[in-house]
Amino acid sequence: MKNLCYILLINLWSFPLLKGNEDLSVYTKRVDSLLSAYHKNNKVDLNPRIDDSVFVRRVYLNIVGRIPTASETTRFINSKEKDKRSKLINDLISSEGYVSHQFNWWADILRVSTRMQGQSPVNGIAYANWIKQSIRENKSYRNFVSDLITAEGMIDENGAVGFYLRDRGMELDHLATTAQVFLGTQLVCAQCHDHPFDDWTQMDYYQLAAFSTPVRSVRRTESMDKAIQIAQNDFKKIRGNKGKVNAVRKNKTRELQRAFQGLTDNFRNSIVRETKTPLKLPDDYQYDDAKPNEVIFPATPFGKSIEVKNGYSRVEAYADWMTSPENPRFTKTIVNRMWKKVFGVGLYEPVDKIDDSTKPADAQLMTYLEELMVDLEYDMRKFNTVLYNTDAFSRESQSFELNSGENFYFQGPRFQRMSAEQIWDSVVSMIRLDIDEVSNEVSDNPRLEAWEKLNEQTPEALIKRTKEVASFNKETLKKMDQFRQQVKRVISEKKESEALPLARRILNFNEKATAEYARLTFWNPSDFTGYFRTPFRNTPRALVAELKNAFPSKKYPNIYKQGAVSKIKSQLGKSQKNGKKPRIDKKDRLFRGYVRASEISSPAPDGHFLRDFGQSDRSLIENANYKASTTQALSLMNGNFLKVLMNPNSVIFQKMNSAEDSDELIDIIYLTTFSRYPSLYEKSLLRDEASLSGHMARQSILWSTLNTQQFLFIQ
Amino acid sequence: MNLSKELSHASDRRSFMVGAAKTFLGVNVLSNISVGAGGKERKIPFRKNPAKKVIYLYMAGGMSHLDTFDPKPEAPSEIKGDLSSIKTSADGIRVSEYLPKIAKHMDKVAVVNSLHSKTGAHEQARYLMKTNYSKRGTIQHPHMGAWLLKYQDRINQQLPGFVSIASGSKAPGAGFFGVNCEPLIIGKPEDGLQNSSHFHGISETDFMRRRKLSERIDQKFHAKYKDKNANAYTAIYEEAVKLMRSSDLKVFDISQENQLLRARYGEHAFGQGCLLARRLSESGVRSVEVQLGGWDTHQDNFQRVQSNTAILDQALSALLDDLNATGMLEETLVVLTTEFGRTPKINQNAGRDHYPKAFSALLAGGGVKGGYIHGKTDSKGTEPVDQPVTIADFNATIAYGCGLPLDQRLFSKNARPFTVANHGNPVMQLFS
Repeated sequence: MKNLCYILLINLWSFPLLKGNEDLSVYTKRVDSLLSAYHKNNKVDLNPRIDDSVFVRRVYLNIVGRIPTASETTRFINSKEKDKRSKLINDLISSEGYVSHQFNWWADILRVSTRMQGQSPVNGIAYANWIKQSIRENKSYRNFVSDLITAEGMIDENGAVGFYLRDRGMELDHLATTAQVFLGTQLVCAQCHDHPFDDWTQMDYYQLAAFSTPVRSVRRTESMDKAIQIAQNDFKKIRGNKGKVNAVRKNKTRELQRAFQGLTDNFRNSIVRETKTPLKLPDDYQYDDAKPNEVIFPATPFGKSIEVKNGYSRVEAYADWMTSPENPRFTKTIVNRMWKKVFGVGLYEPVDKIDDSTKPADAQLMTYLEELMVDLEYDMRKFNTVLYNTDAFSRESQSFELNSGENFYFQGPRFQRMSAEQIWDSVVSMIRLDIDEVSNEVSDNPRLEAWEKLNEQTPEALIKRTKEVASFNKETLKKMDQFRQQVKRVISEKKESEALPLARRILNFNEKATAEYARLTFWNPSDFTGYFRTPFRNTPRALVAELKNAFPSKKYPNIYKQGAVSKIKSQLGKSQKNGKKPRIDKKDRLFRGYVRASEISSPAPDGHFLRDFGQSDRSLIENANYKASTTQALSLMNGNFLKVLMNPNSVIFQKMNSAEDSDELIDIIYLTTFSRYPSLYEKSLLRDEASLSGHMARQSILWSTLNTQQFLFIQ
Repeated sequence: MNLSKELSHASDRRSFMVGAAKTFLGVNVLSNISVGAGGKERKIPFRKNPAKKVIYLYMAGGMSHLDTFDPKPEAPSEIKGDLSSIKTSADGIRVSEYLPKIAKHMDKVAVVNSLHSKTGAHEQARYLMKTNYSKRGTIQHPHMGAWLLKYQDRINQQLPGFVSIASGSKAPGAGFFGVNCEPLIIGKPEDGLQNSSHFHGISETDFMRRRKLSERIDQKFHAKYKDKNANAYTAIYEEAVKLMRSSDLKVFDISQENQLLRARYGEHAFGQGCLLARRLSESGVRSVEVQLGGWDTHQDNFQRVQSNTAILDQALSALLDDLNATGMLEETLVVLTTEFGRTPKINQNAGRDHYPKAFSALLAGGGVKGGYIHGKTDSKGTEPVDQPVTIADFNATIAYGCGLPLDQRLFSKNARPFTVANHGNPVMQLFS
């Protein structure tokens, strides 16, 4: 219904640091020569070179996460330019498709979920958008990590706080995942006891945790804390018996703290701050170096040791230590992760479990790549450019099983199935052309506006408003009780004639009280967009529903047409009546939902194509899988997407329609699904099928090429 | 009923041994986990006649124990509200007046009224109930249904071993057991198994011709890439085609039941889900889970419990009726559970809040004693005062009921040990 206004970023994007790759080719050559020395030592050679067809499909899938279209393929194959491969790599790395595909990679690593428990989906989307924007502006990896670790505020103003909200209430687990993701170190065993096969002690764990566990999801803003301090000064004036006075002061403080929560009810689970909450050892701590329940102060287990003075931010010190080039595991981990993304296998495996036995395939290469990352100032696009331009990347792939105990020598990349997102995005690219267009629409955010207004208030104003909210809550809840009694009475005494007037009174009250509550809590009362809740929640509607059930014959007002919502809806209704109804044409309706995986909820809902093909459910770090399952075969053979593909408006259908003869039809389908021309033998295989009636031929041949391993795997 | 098919399979004891052999030898299912010797011997004997299948009904949101299976007719009205309790077909067992149909089946049902835990947040508590372990960011524990499948192979090889119906996206699945124990997920019971029939307008001949073409197109590719995962696709395509043709496929299609029967289960997702569960269970699916949501009654508890119990009453009574009539109940363990109870004291919104200190669950069939109440809460339903049962104990009871080895440790990929019910003690009194 919204009038979306698109801009084509793919063409407008300019990426000043990556215009040519003259400067970067030096680094690529260095990596090539180190790899070649490594091969020599191990008495192996690079695999044979691949042709343009294999290259173009591989590089599109690797960098922008989808197969190239038929035209993109032919344009590349036909180009006579000498450096067309590295030009293509540059173009792709600078495009919006790179943002989408890198996001999928991060979403799996960071377990990005748009349905975080107890939170509005708006929170998860804000976090996802923050990650996408960081990739888009090519934020250096150091800053990316540092911004996540030091994230503070309300999620609408700083999406990075999603990093903490993701694990809200599980601060110790959060530390374990942070160390695993950014330092490639698995501490989890040490959470409960000294690590059985590593050097980690439980004390190490708690000392490291003490940096970040004070970061919490909170209900109060900083100005509220100030207000409480001011109020506490007032409470000090209370005189009397010493023991009693203290209790009174404490009580009053607690009361005020609770009252403030009434003011931030609609920011619940959305605000993150570094608190002063101390970290204590568990009550079953069993070692001699400390006692159970002892308060632990932060200390680093390796790298530079740091001291946080009282009153200074612990997370900032933590972030500095974590992202320092001097941290022996920080650079190593990202370098290895990126290497694995390009070649399918890390220089050491697993990428997130560094211990004493960790030995990279080649130490010199590892060291060089770490130095390179530092020299490039953690510029992810540049580093990727270096890796994709290596000689080894344009060699034939080979099959390899992780954890098989065998060595992988990087004679070419690993032969792999596409990820769930690559398969889905490839299908979507056959349906529509605009998949990488970015919406330029900036929507109003009433929650952010309310947040800003809340933060403008002086402590005195806040205390005053808090009292108003408290008394509002009390009154409305009392009113609800009265309504509840009345409804009960009307129903039990079967007073049908009173039902409708009562329902109206309840709904009127609901409308007014909602608006009043909005005003009190600084929200724009005409815009609640779905997630605004009041102290009395859903009770009015439930009560009216009860009346409706008891006396169904009456014509009740629509219980969902309430308050601001009714205003918006009635406006819409009007414009529809006037014939101004925004028209959604058939094509849009059919194509709805066929967007990049990165633009669908994370994870996609159960039963979605993406989940069938192994998209991570976001419960664990890198939880995606590439394994075959029966539902995948059923989906590819009989799934709904086939209908959409065969719609006359789909990209592939229109392309197929333009074929002049059956030879050209086969060419188009092969160029689209396999990024190559068919061999003479393959043409002869398909000739009979191609001679069937037009629609049948197109459907059959497309189906037969999609249902192959050639389609699913990246050569 | 597929009795002949079941008979043609090994007895349960033997199939467990086969499962165990596979486990120890690392054959088949256990490619990514390894196995250790048993833990401390607790001398819990294997059950002689374990249940073969489980139908697991999950009440999501936290079912109010006071307003269902632990009524307190003597309690003051700020606790019991206006609700009264009714007699049932079992002596001495009363249930809420909202459950008249189930009341007639209580002679087949055992009630556990003394469940308790410390976890009062939905997701964590649900995870704990379904897996026995606390939810962690670092490992995924297997659902009870996955444990069952891990130890006891599928009964019917043509069908999946674990099916989860209408259970939402956060349901734990196979955990570290990997894809072989993953549940097949059915979103809407009436939709059955998605994508199991031909793309419209395509005849069987067309379909087979296309399949053939795909294979021929891939010939050269196969010859070049000898990859384990790629080869797996050849196998799963065969299995998918087999499933499409399988006579068992129709068990997913509840429209095959007559309208009267469907209506008996109730015209809602949960009722139809129970019907589908019965059909799948009859055809040899080891474990089926069906979920009924809407129990999070912070506001207007009684009105909402009433509409939920109406659904539950209809569906569960129909399920027990049918399982009993066909004799299936003897080999099928029906479980009804939830994440926690609700506060005895009614809150300011006429609702009840989360309450893990006391809650109720049911077990029926599979050799469980009928007409039996285990454990007791105090007069206000605030806490167990007799025979308290932890979540681990409750799940150990299910595991014992199915003949699973309670003390055998299985290891996750990073060598952490786990047992089926996390060292809970089965409630032996529940079995006859």
